[in-house]
Amino acid sequence: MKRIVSKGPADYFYLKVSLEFTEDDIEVDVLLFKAIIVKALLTMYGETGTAMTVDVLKYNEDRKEAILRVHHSGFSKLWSALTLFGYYSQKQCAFRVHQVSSCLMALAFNSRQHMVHAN
Amino acid sequence: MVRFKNRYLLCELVLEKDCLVYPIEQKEVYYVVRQAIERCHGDYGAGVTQGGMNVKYLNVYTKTVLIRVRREYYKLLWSSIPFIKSIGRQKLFFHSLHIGGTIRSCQKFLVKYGQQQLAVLLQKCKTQEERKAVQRATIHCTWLKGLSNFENVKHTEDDDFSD
Repeated sequence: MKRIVSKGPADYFYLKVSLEFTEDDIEVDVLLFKAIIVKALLTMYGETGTAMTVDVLKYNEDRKEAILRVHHSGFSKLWSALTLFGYYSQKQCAFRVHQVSSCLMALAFNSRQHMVHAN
Repeated sequence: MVRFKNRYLLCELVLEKDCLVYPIEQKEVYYVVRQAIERCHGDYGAGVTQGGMNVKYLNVYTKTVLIRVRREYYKLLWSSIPFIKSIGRQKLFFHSLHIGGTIRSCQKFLVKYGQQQLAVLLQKCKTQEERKAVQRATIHCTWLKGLSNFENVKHTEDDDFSD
């Protein structure tokens, strides 16, 4: 069985994710957010997973929402690691992936929620 | 085709303080390798290699290890092996020699490798007795090889692996 991987024209993939805790009073600044992403990659894919460069392009501290950029080779690894991440320092949490695109402009508008993010 | 295809990784254990025999069990090697894969490749690596991984052969005298892994995931094992620094209290590292598709191909490589190592040993010999012993061993190998070519006899080194 031959596996065909199509690289396509995209170099990077952009994800709009938000981090949700069961308790609402937890504050997460941008450095902690990046550390949590790296921890998710570490548990799922080990040290080779953390070697992947994930950039936090924008971070909204109130909604704990961020736009991430990842190279196409690490895209499926990042998304699967974020999906299966459940606990951070004994607190239950979950990553919600709202939008994914190979083009950053596409994240400006979200037709599901009818919200145009101007920031 | 429903056959499981494997890769056999042949390694040599290089101990910090080289002694003739260091008692290591196959179980210990297996756990140390599992830990290394889990550290380097996480839950994914551990889960994917767990099904087909097996320490097929371990010789503490020649310090040779043969590890089997599924063909699709042999690179995960191969890349994690250099990160092993000790087994129990003994500091050592794995020197990976060969990756083969079958045990037989690894045996063939081991025979050639042994002969090459004898040549290296001959240069390193310090006393006349050591030199004579190494030369005797070299002649014995080449004599056996010639005999097997002449009479089509099965090589005696194969018996080490037949268990």
